[in-house]
Amino acid sequence: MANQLKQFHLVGILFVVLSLTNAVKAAETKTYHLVLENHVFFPSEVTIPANQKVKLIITNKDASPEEFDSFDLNRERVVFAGKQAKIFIGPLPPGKYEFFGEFHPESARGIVIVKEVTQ
Amino acid sequence: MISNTVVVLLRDMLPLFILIAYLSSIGVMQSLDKKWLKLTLFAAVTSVVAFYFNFELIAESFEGRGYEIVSSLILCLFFICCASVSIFSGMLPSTYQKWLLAVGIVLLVTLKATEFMVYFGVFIQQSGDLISICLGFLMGISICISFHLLYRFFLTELIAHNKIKTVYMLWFAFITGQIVQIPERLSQVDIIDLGKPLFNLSEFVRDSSEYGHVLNALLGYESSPTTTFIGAYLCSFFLLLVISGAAARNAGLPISQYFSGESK
Repeated sequence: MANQLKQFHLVGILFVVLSLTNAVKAAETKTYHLVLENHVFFPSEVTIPANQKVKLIITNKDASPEEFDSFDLNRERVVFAGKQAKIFIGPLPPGKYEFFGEFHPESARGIVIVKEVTQ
Repeated sequence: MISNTVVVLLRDMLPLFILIAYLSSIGVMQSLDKKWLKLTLFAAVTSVVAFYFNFELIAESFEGRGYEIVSSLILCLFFICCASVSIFSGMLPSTYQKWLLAVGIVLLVTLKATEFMVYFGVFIQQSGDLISICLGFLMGISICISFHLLYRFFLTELIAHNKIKTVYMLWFAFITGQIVQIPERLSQVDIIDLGKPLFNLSEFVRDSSEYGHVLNALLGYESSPTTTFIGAYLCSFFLLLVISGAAARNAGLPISQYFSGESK
């Protein structure tokens, strides 16, 4: 039983190590910027290409923290006062994905529009 | 303001109330004493306060990936502690079992309570509408306590009807639901790639709805899961089942008897 316990703990640790080391980096990731000022996101609409992972840099110019939150994008990240946060979204199918500031959901709202890129 | 506070409280605190419902139903807490409770509570409060005041520092570390990495490690340790205690309950010395459980509880409380405290701190700092926040807090806590009592009753009834295996399956789904948050957290900061969502169940249950929050806290529900998410979920869940089966076989007991803590 001691062996089984050891094996079980090893599997758990392996899971984390694999997750951390199995980093897959996109060769070129497009970057988009969002600024939070007076509890309002600017721009409130961000258009990104479909089926591509992109980087979103959120700058909080307010004096208090805000949590960037999106159920549609499966993302939530606290952005501290006067700081930036980088998050990655996608690849996503075309559509509209809402996001909001968890701490000021009435004013801090926006939408990510995912569009098919025509070559 | 009130509804937002209720939603944030449900998202952050409901898993803790569900955890307590399981722990008080499946019998692992039967051998715990007041000293253990006091020490665990003290450790949890200390840990939450320390984590809260260093939240920004943690978040900014590892090139802005600190929070995702640290929270993933916390969730992983929580999973290991809770799974060890429930699967190897008959084999581990009771002192070892008690402290493993304490570590698991402290870890989850630290993560969830700190996330709520950040929200609460912002409003204490800047909002004049303290009454709304307090009302929202009271409503949210009342919902959590009511849900906890109902769920505990449901689990106790299952155990009374000899459905201990079902209770353990639900418990495994709960702790699996916590560990599968790891891939999402890591993909958010580009440490792993999750790929595209496999399907979308938003038409039935949206993540943002009350049902979505409850299902997420109970089972780790996601309305648009990716292949990695489903793979991680199934692997963790079946790993727990397989190890439980092996542990029961080793003890020479049917699995239901093994879980109910009966000796051969």
